Amino acid sequence: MVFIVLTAWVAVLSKNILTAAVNLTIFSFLMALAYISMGSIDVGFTESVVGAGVTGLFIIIAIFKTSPIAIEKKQSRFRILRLVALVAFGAVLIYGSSGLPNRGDAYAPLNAETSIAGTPNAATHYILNAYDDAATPNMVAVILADYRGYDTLGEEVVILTAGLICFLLLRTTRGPRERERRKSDRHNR
Amino acid sequence: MKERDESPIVIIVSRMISPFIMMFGAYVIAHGHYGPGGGFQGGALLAASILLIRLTAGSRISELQFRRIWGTPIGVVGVSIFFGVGVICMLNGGEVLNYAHFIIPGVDGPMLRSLGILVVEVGIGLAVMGILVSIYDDLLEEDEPRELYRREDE
Repeated sequence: MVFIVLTAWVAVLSKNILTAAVNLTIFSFLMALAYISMGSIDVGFTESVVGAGVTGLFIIIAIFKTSPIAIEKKQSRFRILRLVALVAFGAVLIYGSSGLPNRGDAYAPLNAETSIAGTPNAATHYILNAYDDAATPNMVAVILADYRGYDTLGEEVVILTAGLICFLLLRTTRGPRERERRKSDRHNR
Repeated sequence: MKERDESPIVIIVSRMISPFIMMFGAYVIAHGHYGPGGGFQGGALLAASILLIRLTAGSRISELQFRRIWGTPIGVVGVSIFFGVGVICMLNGGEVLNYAHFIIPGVDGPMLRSLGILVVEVGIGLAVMGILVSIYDDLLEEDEPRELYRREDE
């Protein structure tokens, strides 16, 4: 936990962007460990693969493609005002988190059999019926791909859209024909 | 990118590790029913093994393993597997993605849903792998062809 706070602090405050990027990947990996220690292995797995592995690579490549110049920090007049706003926001978040139920609390509304509105709770239904419905021991897979199939489909489309947008924005050459043309241009010069 | 020093240690280690990462990715996709993981994580692992070779050996060698133009089509194929399962379920008289109507001869009941989940996970894995690799290629796209031209010109 101390290391998580430390790496986040360094990532935000360091003047070199590359240091910040590397610290961000370390932060991601420690977050994955924290998720696993809280029992959500699937989320931790995703975080360690995507957050610590692939995202760090992309950020570092983007830094090399642009220029690794440190950002100059501007001194502004509203510094104290910003500090007060930040502390106030943090206080609101901590106050809000004090109202959350403890982890593993059997009497929390999330774990109750009926929700506050009186309808049966979704989580209970999943836990009771997941194995009988789909013959799959891993409940998370059943929820993601079967009960919540629409959400996963939407996620998939979001990923595809991101890839296509990168394709459209970043690709400059179109294929062998254009490459030939460019080469002949260069020869003519 | 900066000048690259070709270090034999880095290349050999990544050559040894990369197939195991790929194997583990396939395992995570196929084993998502019984343990943590699933299509997304497995696809990201497959992409990571390809990107490792790309990063260490350079694009000329990795072009032999996984062509630069394959990324986006594989992503599209993955998403259309997912959509296709949904549409097949709908054509067979159920709701979209209701695997009970995803008819495979000889399989019924809960096992059918289990198989439907597996097919969908494979689609997700392919899509994630293709898109991650294609984003990497798009980011580095400008550099490599110019290098090739220069070599041809000389």
